[in-house]
Amino acid sequence: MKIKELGFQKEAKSNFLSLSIPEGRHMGKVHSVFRNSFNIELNGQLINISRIGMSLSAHGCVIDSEQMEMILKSIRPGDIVRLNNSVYSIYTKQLTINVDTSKFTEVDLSIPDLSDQYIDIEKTSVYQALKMISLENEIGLEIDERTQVNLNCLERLHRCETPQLNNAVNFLIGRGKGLTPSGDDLLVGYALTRKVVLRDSHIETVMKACLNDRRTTNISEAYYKAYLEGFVSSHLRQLMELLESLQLEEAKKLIYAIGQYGHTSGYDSLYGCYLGLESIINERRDYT
Amino acid sequence: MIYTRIKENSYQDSINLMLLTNAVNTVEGVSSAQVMMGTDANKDLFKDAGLYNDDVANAQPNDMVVAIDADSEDILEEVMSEVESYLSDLSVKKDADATESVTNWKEATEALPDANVALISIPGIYAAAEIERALDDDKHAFVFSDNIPIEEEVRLKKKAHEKGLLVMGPDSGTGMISSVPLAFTNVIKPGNIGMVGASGTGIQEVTTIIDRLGGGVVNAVGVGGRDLSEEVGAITMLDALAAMDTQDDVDVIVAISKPPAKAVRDKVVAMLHSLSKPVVAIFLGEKPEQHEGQVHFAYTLEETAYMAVDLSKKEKVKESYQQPLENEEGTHAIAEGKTVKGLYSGGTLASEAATLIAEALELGELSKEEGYKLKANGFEVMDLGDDMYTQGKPHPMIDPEVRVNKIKEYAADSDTGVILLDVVLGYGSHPDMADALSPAILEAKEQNKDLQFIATVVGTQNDPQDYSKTKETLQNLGVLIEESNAKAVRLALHMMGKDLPEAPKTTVDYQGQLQKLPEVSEKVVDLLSTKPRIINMGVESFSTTIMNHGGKAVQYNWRPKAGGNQKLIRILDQLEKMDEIDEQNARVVDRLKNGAPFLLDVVPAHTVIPELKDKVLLHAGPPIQWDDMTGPMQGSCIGATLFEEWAATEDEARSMLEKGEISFMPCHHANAVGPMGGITSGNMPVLIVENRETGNHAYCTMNEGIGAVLRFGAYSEEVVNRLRWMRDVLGPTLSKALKTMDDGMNLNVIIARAIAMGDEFHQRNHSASLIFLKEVAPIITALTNVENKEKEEVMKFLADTDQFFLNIMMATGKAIVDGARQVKEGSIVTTLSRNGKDFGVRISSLGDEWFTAPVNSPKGLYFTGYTEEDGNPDIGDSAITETIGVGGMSMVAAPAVTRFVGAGGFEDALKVSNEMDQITVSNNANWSIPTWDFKGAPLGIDIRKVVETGITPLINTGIAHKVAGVGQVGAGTVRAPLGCFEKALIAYAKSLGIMVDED
Repeated sequence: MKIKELGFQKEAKSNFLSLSIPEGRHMGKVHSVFRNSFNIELNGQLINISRIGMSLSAHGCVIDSEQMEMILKSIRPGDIVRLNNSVYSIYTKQLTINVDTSKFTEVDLSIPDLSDQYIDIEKTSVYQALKMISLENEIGLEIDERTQVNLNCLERLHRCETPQLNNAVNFLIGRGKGLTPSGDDLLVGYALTRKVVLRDSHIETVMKACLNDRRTTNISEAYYKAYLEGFVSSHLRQLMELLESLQLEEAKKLIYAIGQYGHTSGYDSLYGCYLGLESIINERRDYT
Repeated sequence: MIYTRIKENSYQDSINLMLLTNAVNTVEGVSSAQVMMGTDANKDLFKDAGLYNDDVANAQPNDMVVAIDADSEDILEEVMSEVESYLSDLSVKKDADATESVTNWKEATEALPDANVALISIPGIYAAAEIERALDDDKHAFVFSDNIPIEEEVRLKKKAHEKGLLVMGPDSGTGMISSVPLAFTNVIKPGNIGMVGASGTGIQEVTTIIDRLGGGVVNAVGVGGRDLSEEVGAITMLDALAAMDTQDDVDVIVAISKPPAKAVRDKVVAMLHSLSKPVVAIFLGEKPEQHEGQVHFAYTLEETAYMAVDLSKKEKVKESYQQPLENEEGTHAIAEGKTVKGLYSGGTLASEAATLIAEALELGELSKEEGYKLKANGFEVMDLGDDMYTQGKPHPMIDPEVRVNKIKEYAADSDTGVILLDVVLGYGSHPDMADALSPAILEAKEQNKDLQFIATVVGTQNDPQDYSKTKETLQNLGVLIEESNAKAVRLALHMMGKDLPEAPKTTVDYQGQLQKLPEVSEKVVDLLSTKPRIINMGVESFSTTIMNHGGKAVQYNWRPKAGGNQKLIRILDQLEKMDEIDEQNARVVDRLKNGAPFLLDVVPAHTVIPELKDKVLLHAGPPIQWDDMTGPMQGSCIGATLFEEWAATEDEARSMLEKGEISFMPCHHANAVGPMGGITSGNMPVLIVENRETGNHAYCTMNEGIGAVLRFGAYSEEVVNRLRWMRDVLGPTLSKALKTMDDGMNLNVIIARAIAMGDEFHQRNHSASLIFLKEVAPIITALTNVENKEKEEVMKFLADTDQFFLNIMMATGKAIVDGARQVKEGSIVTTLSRNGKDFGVRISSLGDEWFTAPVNSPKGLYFTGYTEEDGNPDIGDSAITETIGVGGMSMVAAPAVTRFVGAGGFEDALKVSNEMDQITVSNNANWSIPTWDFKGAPLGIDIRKVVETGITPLINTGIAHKVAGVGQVGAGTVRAPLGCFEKALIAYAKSLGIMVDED
């Protein structure tokens, strides 16, 4: 894998989008606007629109950079959006902007399954690269005693009782600042890793249950929803696929790229993945 | 006692004046006041208000008239201070807004070359011509103005239709083009609903409810309240509907109309069925029982909005949209016998309220009485925006006064149980109407304890006013707020014990024929799909709103053309269509620009002007005889008679002149010009200037210096002796000097240098006179055939006479204009001249024909011991300098002269030249003015522009004492009277075969 392939270099959309939104006309609105991307809230779900070169969200697409510039100059949260058969019409104060995604490359962002092979975690480039970073210092959560207890639970999941796990998941859902709280990114990264390597869905079940009672931000909920439906962002998918690779440099580059995402969001996800890998190592160590 | 103050040439738009009237009325001691422009129509309003006097009668259409009724004149001073403060705030605001502003259509189109709409908010009497101009220039018209005759509306809408354009209005109070609010409009989120409405407040009510429901509107085209009348036949609505059907970003179309003509209604409905998109239609006053196919009929404006939002989400319309009332619980029934009064600022909201109340209470037909929508059995719904309440007063959306008075009136009536109000927010409306109504509401509730107020707020969270705060203010006063007008009325009815259930509507198939939709023009598609580029003609605040919402605007500070004179307006409109005039004028101006003046000689006048061989005197200005001459000109005649030795004494001279023994002719008829009295006799030496481009010669006497001089009417021995010295010494010496120059003296070079050194060549010639002296001094000193004493006298005289070059410049001007006059064409002024009684104008196409009007009196500074009382009315041929673009026209070149204008700063000088630039067709690059960023002197005064703008040339002038023999007493400026230009325009139009109405 080359570094330029880390982000999408042409207009693309997640296959989850077409699966989750039926054909026809839907009305929504601009939910949030960032420096390089924005979210649309439509039919109760969020759609992330980023610019070419960025990670493709499980619930989004990447569009031409110039068009993104033009859109970002005009849109404001609350602007009305119409989705009509793959064409998004954004009714900004300045003008109606159409984003036609019908010709976009549809990208499979379904979660890969590597569980049919034995992966020696400690030898993987991903694990080694992650270990080189002081992830605790990069994430958005302050690791105090209470946090540590909950993270320990995830790290040694096989020894963690259900009430403790519930506590840990409840503790992390919605924890942290920003539109994607660190706890959410961490949980998705963690659960994803275990699912890919071990096809373990226990943590997912707990997450689902906890999400029924506990609210987080709309954007995080969108990530959870996509994940629980079996889809993740292109970066995380690439990271999971790298678990089969021993190319340390490639892993470092990808991890660096993910780390740049959001304020601490990328590192939060990476830390979740790292905890997931540690939990597998610990589990295997204890059971062999 | 009535006190008035006239601010000349101070045009303000009607909204500013209305607000100013309000402000002035609050000044303590003012019983009543009006501030208006001095048009004939407004003078009637002054009469009606009992504020009419002679000053008002004499005011001109471009004058701002302040009239008050007060006990003391001191109050007027306080009022004027309020007026100045208001106008000053406006100008600061204008600077802050930084909208480009222009004063005519041509400048507007140059400032905004891609303009596609003219937004017209000017008095209705002038609006039709401006709509037509916009259409002729391929622009749509959005017409806020009202009072346009319906036959004009029909004609203009047909013309627009044929050209693929839209006339949106007249009387279109609201519009939104590509999400840009026009006129009185709320700020609505853009969305996939398009709207066409023959009702301003109808559009406002529906769009604001849509916005609050989370929907959005991308275009709302107001078509004017009469568009669906039998005469107009929905021309604009049909075109707009067809266009919206082609818009990709529109999924639902809403059509709103006041009660239409039956046949037109059917035509519109047939069109609605033929559209490809779902439609919601409301014809106010109709109670539909079902929907047909894709056309969904609504009864209330609220229902219209709800259906549109559902359809925009591709949801099916519901059978009923009646919403629960916000205040139903806990409200008390009002006592039997009490009635409901509606005090509405929105006409359509009033109609809706009247319809609902009349239906529920079975009150029969709606009222046709002016100002009322309902008046039956004590139930009254008033449209306070009706003409009868807004003549000369601001609309009740801006000004609470009418409604406050009505609240008081109704509260005093013990039968009043409920007062219904609308508070309309948005651009153009009062900044805080709820607060403005508060004292009246509180007082009313205090007076009438059981009285209930129910209100609806027409607005959105994005409106410039605070929607939530408005509701809160009203609620804190105990006013019951409902989310729509329909619900407000329903609550009132509920309190009367009458609920108004809505019958569910089903949808049936449409059985009629589908129509072929008319072709949609590219211009209309462009209008609805791009941000509008607007020439805003009238209310200035509209420009700011447009720009704040992403549109482009140029502010056209419109004034009534030709002071509102309809006869002249018609002539100007005809002339404007004749493109060849501009071409002809360009040729005239080229001839003026290319003039090549050379000073050749100084000779006795009779040697070059044969008429002067007899007892003839030349005089300034258009023809005049002795009896009509003012003092200074008569004094000059006496002086000249003595100088020529036709008489020995003053008495003898006067007697000869009175008996007609000496005849008169204008200098201008003898290729000459003369300063002030302009009196020129045969033995006076005259300068000869040749226009080498055209080969003609022009003559002018030499400047005598200042003080007691012949040109100002002095004729003492000292004066006559100086004239003799000029004849015997100065003239011959200069003649000898000039003859040594092979080609004469190139005056263009001197003028170009001197204008850069601060001369404007009428009031200030210091630099040019010095340059002239510099040129001739070495030659004079080298002359061998002149005595040294005489050389010394001549040199001293030239050195002492700062204005010596003025007369050279006058001969130059005459040579240049006479060169241009060799071909008769165009509407350019070729002579400006005054004889103390009349101001005379001649124009390029009409040769020697004079057009005259009484002269004005100069305003300026007087020498010690003299006042304006002593000054003679305007006199002299020296305005030939203004004719060729210098003098007052180029005031900016000589800021030092500006002190004669008044306050006298550089800004004043700049203002004058910028103003003069508006009445000329070109600038003379040969005479470039450094203090004007090297722009050339304004050149080519066009009578069309003078009459259209009412701006007349400003002339710098000396002031003669009105009594013969005294001489100069001051200097200042004077305006050419408009009347002579108007006469010239009428004659010019006739010469071109244009039919001119007779007075």
